[in-house]
Amino acid sequence: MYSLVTIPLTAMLFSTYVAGDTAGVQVYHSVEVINSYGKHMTLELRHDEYVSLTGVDGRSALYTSSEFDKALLDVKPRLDEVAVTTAALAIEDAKQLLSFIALKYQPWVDITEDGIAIIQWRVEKGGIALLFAGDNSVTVSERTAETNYVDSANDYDLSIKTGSVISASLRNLYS
Amino acid sequence: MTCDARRPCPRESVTQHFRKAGYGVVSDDETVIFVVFDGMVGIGDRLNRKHFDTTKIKNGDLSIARQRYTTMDDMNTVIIEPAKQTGRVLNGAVIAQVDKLRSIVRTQAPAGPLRGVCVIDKVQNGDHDGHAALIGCADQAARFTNPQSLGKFRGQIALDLADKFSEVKSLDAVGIVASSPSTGG
Repeated sequence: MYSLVTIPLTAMLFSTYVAGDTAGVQVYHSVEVINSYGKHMTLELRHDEYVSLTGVDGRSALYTSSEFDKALLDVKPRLDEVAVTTAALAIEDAKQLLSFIALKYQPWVDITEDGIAIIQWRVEKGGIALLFAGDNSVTVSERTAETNYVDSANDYDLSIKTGSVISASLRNLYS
Repeated sequence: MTCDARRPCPRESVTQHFRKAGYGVVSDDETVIFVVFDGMVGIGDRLNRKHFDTTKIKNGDLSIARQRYTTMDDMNTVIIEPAKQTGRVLNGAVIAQVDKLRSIVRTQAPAGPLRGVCVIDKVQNGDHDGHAALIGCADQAARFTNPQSLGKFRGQIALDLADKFSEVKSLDAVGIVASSPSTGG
């Protein structure tokens, strides 16, 4: 069953398509709409509880999720038992939050030797990094000309609201 | 002893050379070189978090070379040839000012500002005298209430390190000296 979603009354249907189940990627329906501000947005309807509005590429979130599996394979020989457990939980948290972020810009994905999952967007002037430790929260770090990632970190829950905050930060980063 | 933003890490203040000789502690105005072997990046690319292994940094095993004390002979003999013999592919090298690496500081830490990495003149038997290393502060673990927060902090340090170093250059372009000055021992 698909999740129940509410589309703003001012949004109008633009087109629809159904993505197939290829290479283990979850089947989902996608509806492209134009919102009240005249912007094209993609509404994803998936086979689980997550529903999200994404940017121009509705498949980005799923692609990024699979990148975590590759990153884990790469780092796993260097992880101890605790880090392996941390990484598994962290990846689940990251995938959940990814469902709530407008992924217009493809991030870089990584697992550290401590089992921390990282999603990073990086441009010349700065960057945004999301760090997950499997504790049902995300630490959002930003680097600017004045600040380092270590010194600009805020913790959030894994909610749609947090996804919106991050999406807004990404728009600023790429503006 | 703690290592915070107001003074050097304890291991930065005293030589870490195994003979207690060499060129002495690493000063803020030095440039250090990090040779890249991963086979993935090319000249002009930037490094990413993955190049800064958090376990190696924790243990003080992330090797760098002090530009003013490293010759091309040192590079070839002690760093590049041994790496090639183990099948590693040389990509090039990146450089950074030491004071920029030492500027990675969490200023809002509960018990006062906390340094990210220390830059120490770690020289072990078999290393050249211009060898140095990045190491996490000894008291980092004690400053965090849980391992998850500590792990995130280490991840953030590695992200910052990737931005502090330059783009990848050829070895000819990182300012390696023709001959190194004599040491004290």
